[in-house]
Amino acid sequence: MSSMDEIRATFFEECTELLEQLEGGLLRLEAGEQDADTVDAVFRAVHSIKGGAGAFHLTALISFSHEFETALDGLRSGSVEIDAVVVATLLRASDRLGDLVAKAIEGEEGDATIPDDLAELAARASAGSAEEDVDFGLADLPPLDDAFEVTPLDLNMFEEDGDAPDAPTAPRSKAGGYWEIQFEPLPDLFSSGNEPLYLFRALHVMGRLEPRLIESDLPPLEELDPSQPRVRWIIDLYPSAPDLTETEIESVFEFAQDLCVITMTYREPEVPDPDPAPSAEAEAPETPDSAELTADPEPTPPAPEPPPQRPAAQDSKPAAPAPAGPKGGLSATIRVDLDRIDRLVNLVGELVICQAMLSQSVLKDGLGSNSDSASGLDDLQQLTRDIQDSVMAIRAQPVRSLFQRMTRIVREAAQMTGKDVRLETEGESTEIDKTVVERLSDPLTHMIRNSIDHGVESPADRIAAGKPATGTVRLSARQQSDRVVIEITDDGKGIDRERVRARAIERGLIPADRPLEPAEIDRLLFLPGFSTAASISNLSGRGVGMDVVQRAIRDLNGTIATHSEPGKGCTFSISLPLTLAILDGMIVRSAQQRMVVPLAAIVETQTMDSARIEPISPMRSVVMLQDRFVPLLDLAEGMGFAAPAQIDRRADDDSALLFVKPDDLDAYALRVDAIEAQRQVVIKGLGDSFGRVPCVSAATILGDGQVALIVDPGGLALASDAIRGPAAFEGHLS
Amino acid sequence: MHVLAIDDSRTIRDMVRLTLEREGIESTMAVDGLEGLEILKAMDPQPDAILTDVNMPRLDGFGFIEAVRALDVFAGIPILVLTTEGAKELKQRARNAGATGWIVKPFDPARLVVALRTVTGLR
Repeated sequence: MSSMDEIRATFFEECTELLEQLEGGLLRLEAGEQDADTVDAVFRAVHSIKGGAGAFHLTALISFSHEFETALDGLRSGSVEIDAVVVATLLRASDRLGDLVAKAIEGEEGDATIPDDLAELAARASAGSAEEDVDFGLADLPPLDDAFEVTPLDLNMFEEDGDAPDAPTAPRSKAGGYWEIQFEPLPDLFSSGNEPLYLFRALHVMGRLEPRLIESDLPPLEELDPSQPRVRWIIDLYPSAPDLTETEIESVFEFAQDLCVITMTYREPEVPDPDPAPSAEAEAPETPDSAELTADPEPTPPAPEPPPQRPAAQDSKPAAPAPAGPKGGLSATIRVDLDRIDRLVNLVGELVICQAMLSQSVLKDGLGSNSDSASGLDDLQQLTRDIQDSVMAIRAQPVRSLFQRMTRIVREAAQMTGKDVRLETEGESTEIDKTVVERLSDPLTHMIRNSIDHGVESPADRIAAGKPATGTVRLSARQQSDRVVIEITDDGKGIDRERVRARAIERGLIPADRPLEPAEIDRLLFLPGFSTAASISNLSGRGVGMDVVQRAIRDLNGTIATHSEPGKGCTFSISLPLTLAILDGMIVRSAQQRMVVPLAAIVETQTMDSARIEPISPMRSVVMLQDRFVPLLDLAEGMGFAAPAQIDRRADDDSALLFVKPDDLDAYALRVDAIEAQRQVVIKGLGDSFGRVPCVSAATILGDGQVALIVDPGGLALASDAIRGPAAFEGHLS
Repeated sequence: MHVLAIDDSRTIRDMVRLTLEREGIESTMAVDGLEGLEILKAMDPQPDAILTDVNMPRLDGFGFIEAVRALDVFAGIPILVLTTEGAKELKQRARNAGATGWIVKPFDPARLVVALRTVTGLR
C-alpha cells in the first residue's frame, strides 16, 4: 500500500468520525443547544471533509460539501436563523454527505446534486454574508496520482490582484547579464516572520550575489527601533542559469510582496561576450571591486540589522526530535492497525493457555501451593490478567458512534411511518469491544425500526391514549460487572400478546390449546418463522425477523430479553460480554467429556448430596434453589452425550449441581459429574464447517492441550425438553 | 529543518508529514492552536517554521499566530498559513496577526517545500 493509499484510508476513517461529529452537533442544535461552539464544530466537520476531499479530487464530495459549508457559514455568521426547518434540512444534507462519502469509499462518484432546500439555505447564507468565497479552482484540478505529484495549484500569497507576469512575457536573463534588484523592506516585514537574510539565501541559489547596503536612512542609534527595518539593499544577481526569469526571482519575494518595495532591472553585460558558450558553471563576468559572496552566503550587512530572534542556522542540520517534556508530547493518541491489536489479543490468549498449562504441570509435579513455583505462577496469573485487561481496553470503543448512527434510523423510520419519534440516548461513553460495536449495528437498526413500526403509536392514537404526541425511543448502555447491557425502550403500546399468540398459532408454531405465560408469549417473537415482516410493513421487516436479531446477539455470546407492559411500552435488553476473546468459565466433567460453563451464567453451585431433589416423573426431577423449585437437567443428557436417565446419586460421587440462569430465561439446575476448576479460557470459534451447533457457543483449549466445548446455557435450556416441558415449541427449536 | 504543523484534520496532517518526510524535513504535529502553542513552548530547539490551518477547534489559526507573535522569543519564526480559504480579507487578517505567508489547500507538495525553504533560509 503506498503512503498515499494510506492517507486516503485515513481520510475516509476521518470522514466517518467527522460525519458523527456533524450529526451529533446537528442533533444538539435540534435539541436547542445553539451555542457558537456547536455551530463551529458542525461547520468544521463539513469544512474538514471538503478539505480532505480536495486533496483527493473527489469532485462530488467537494461540490456538495462546499454548498453545505456555505449554508453552515450562514449559521455561523448569523445570517441564517436556526430553526427546526433549517436543522431538518441540514440533517438531510448530512445524510446525503454520508452517502457521498460511502460512494467515495467505494471509488464511485455519487450524485452531487444539491437538494433544493440546501441550495436555498446556502443562497440565504451567502446573501447575508459579505465575505466572498474565493473559488478554489475545482475544475482546474489535475488528477492526483499515487505518486503524489501534482502540478502547481494555487500558492496564493498576499499579492495584489494583478498576478505576477507570466513567464513567457517576462524578460529573461542572457548569458553575461545580471539582474539589479532593489529591495526595500517596509516596517512590517520583520513582524511577519520574513527575514531578508533568508530571502538573500534563496536568491543565492539562483546565482552569484553582489549586495550593496543603503544605510542612508539609518537614524541615530538612540532612535533606532530594532524591530523595524531601516535599511535597503541593491543586489546584483548574476544568474547561474542563463534563462532565469523575472517571475522566478519574484517568487522568492512572494510572501513579502506587500511588505517591501521590489524593483528589478536586467542589465546587459558591460562587455558584450563574443563567445556565447553556456556557462552553467556560473562563473559570471568578474566585477573586480565587489565583495563577492561565496558558497556560504552570509551577506552580513555592516548596519545594525535587527538580529533574528532565533539562532540563524547555517545549514539544514538535523533538528532535534520532539521534546519529551511533560507537556511537550505530541497528540496523546496513536492509531494502530486493528490487525496488530488482534495479533496481540491472540497472543494474550496463548499466554492464558500457556499459563494454565504451566499451573497444571506444577500441580502434577507435586509442587505444593507454598512452593516458589506456585507463588510465582500466582503472580504470573495476575500479570496475565492485567495484560489481558489492558489489551481488551485497547479494543474497547464507546458505543457513541453506534448510537449516533441510530438517530438516522429513527428519523427515517419515523418519516416512513408518519409517526413522531425522538431518540433519547444514555451511556454513550460505555465501552465495548470494537467488533461487538460493529456487529450490533444491524440488530439495533432492526430493533429500533421494530419499536417505531410496531410499538410507537400514531400521534392521534397517542393523544387519544393520553400520551404526548411524540413517541420516545430510548437507547441506553451501561456496564454491569463484566457485561454490557444495552436497552431499547419505547413508550408505545407494548407487545400485543393476543395478536402475537394468534399469529404463532396461525403459523403452527404453538398448539392452539396451549396456555402461555405473558413472558412465554413475548419469547415467541424470537421464533424463526414468526416474523411479521411480510404483511405488516416494509419497514421493520426487510425480510429479517427477531430470530435473526437473536442469533446475531447469540453469536456475540450475548443474550436478549424483553419486558413489555401493555399500553406503556416495551424494552428489549441485550446483555453482551465485554470481550469476545476470553471467558471466565467453570471447567466441568460430564460423560468423560470436559466442558466449560460460562461463569457469568452460574448463580450457585451445590454438591449433589446437599441438594434437595424432588422427582416429578420417572425421567424428570426438580431441585430446590433458594425457596423455589427449578428444573434439573443432566449436562451429558442435554448435550446429547447420554440418554435421558434417572439422576445418579451414588454417595461417593463427585457430581455437583450448577444453578444456571441465562439472562433471558428462567434458572435451572445443571448436573455435572465433577467440577474441575474455575479459570479463564480463550474462546476459539468452532470453525465454519460446523455451522451453528445448538447448546455450544464455542470451544477452548485447556491447560493440558485438550479441546473443550463451551456450553451455551441459554441454548441448552431452549433445546431441552426437561426444562421447556414436553409440549413447548416442540419441533421448532431443534 | 524542523517544522511544527497544526491542523485539525488528520488527513492533512498525514499529507503534510509525508510531504516533509520525503524531503527529509522533520515535523511535529498538533491538532489545534492551543496544542500547537503548548508544543511550541516546549520545543527545544524551536521549530524552524510553523504551518497552521485557520479553522480549528479551541484556538483557530489567527488566534494561534497572534499568541505566538505576542511572545518575543517567537517573533522571528516564519508562520505559513495552510488553508482552503482564499478570501482576501482573511489573508489580511492573517497578515495583521503576523503570518509570514499563505498557502491554499489542496497544496502542491513541491511548492510547499520551496516556500518553507524560502522562509527559513534552510535547505
